Amino acid sequence: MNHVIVAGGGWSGCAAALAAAKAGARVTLFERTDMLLGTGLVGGIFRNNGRFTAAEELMALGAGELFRVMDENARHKNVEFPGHRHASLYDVTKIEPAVRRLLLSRGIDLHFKNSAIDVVMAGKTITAVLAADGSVVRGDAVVDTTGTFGPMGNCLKYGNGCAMCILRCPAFGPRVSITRKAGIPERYGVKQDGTIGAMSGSCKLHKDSLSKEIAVELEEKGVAVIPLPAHLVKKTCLSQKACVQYALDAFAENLVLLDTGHAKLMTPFFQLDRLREVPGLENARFEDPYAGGMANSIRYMALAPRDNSLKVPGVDNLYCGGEKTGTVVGHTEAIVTGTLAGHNAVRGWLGREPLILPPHLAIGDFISFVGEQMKSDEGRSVRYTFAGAGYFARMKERGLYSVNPEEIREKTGSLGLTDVFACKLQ
Amino acid sequence: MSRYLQSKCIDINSAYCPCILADTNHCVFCAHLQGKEMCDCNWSGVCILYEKKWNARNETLVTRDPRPELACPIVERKFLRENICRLVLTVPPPLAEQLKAPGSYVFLKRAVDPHYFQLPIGVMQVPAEDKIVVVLETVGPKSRQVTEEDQMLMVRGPYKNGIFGLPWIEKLVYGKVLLLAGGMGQPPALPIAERLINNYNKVTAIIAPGAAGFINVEELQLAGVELLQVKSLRRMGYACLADKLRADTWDLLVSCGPDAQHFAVIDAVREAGVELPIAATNNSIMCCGEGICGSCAKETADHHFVRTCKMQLDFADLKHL
Repeated sequence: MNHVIVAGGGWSGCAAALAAAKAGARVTLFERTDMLLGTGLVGGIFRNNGRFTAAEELMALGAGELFRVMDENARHKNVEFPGHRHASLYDVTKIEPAVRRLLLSRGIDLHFKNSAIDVVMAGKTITAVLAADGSVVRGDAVVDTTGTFGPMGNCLKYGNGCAMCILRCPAFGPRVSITRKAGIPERYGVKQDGTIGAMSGSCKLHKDSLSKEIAVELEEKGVAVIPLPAHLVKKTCLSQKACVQYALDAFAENLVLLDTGHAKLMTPFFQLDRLREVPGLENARFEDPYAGGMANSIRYMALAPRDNSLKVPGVDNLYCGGEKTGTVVGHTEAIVTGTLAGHNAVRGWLGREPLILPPHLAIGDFISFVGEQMKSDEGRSVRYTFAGAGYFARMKERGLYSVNPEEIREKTGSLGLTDVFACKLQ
Repeated sequence: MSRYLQSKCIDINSAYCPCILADTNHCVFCAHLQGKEMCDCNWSGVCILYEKKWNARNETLVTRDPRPELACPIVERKFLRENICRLVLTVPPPLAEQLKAPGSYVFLKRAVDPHYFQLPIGVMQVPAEDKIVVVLETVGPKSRQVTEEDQMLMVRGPYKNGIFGLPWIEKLVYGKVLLLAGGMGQPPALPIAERLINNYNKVTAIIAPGAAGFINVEELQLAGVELLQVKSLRRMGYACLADKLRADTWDLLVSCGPDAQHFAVIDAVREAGVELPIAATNNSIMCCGEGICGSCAKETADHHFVRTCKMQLDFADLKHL
């Protein structure tokens, strides 16, 4: 049996670990912190716009476990907010233990508070991974799902400094890119103005610090749209955000809050005393990042080159998922890429042709389209997501967007890909 | 104990970081402070770029010399042999306290000599809160000048990187340690042995007079080291080491002496087929101690140059000469 090492336990790493285990591999996952899901611990939005299609496609392809866990832990379903339809919001306070139980039930060996910090190479093959605790773990293939955020030095240089976000670098140490350690030069995303990186697009408020009216509205509808007083409307800050799907005028003129357990505020950061000028938010305080009044984490610092099977060229047995694959945004995007990377890691070891998803599926089109865009500076100044902006428009244009699960299952079947991720590879 | 040692700067997490190297974009640790675009450090619990940012707000920290020269009276000078001199100096207690760590060293010179007479010398003992003991061998003009003085010397310190593999020495408890010390390797062996014994380790030492031709038995015995005295490490010591390696299992090996001795020890360990961390004294030629002059730079097996006055690393990773 081959051994797949997954570096990084965010949504993408969890998906890669599950996919590799289902394909028949023994899987070891290294997670730097003490919890899985990375920024998914403060996320929560899924199934909005084209993400619905992507989730249903992945279910039809036989890798729907993580979406089922999200559905089971959803606080709100079918929520509408500016520019977004049929969104679900999972409960960030319940999701992590549920995912952890799922991974453990599949026999995945989870290592917490221990990151992969280097690789041992034999020519172009990674033979082992060096862990922060000094242990050397041999593996047949590695999936790099270490993300692209921070660490503190980058957040200081390209942002407003460490905002003490959920990634908790000062406590658990920084992100270490396995791709870079394997000697592969990486690229980075840029903002529209050409500067490096992008700031994470949302912060979270403590729900108990909001007015009763807002709290009730959030609890009932899942969303509260609060018009901003005129002097607080600032449209320029939107261009700095990672999450383009929320860079709409409606988000500049209103404060959009979503109930994900915390009150998710769709802006990278908001000066606290200004925020408290908004009616109903007189006592507001931040839950994530703790310094959400001044900054947020910086992302897209380490994009790996990759092909459409999500293998990293130049290394025989290295694959990548999540933000490593491009300037993509969101849990759904992380899960679909992680799943393919974990699956292909096993195929590669078996000497089988890698699985490349066809452009008839939104996921296949997304992976190849983003891959192509990453080759140019302009491409890397844009963010990609099933949920909005340019890529969602492309989905609709190409007839890839559907909210009919039955139709999606039929299409997957006609492509001969039903349950392709569910079958053990021999 | 893990055989793997993360190379790191000895001054991280101390009042001496960030240092002048951070100002000149030559920090041995932080990628940004080497002029690179992205973070890529061997995380050590602190972000140096951040430290620098906050320190920059306090101008005095940047502009003052963090390790000024201090005039320190000589309280005792004794020639152990014609060319081996033992000095006891009175220093300010905060400095003495910092010099208790194994591998600590200071620069000495006479008040009348110019700065390039500064002689790096390891601290053997801190017998009182304001006293330090050093043993030096007169080999050249700098050491000659220092041993000729009997009243007062200029002391600059503390400097810390006198031993490669210090984390192993500091972390080990209830272990068994084999220590080799030849000649002038004996003075730095004393604080190492004391630290190890303090942490409930059993220390067995093989010692020899070496080229310096002196033996420092009493102090090591007092510290509680089990001693094996040989006439020559080269002729008998390494055979004795090989026997010990075969006869018993050890947690750590410490080699105090010249580089040739370290390499012989590494070879003996390899030959015996045992996996064992090896701490070794740093014999690089120190001139400034601040990572500026480059006189202490050494090449690693994978062809990087490291400033050994600053960098903690596994001696076995250096290019085998």
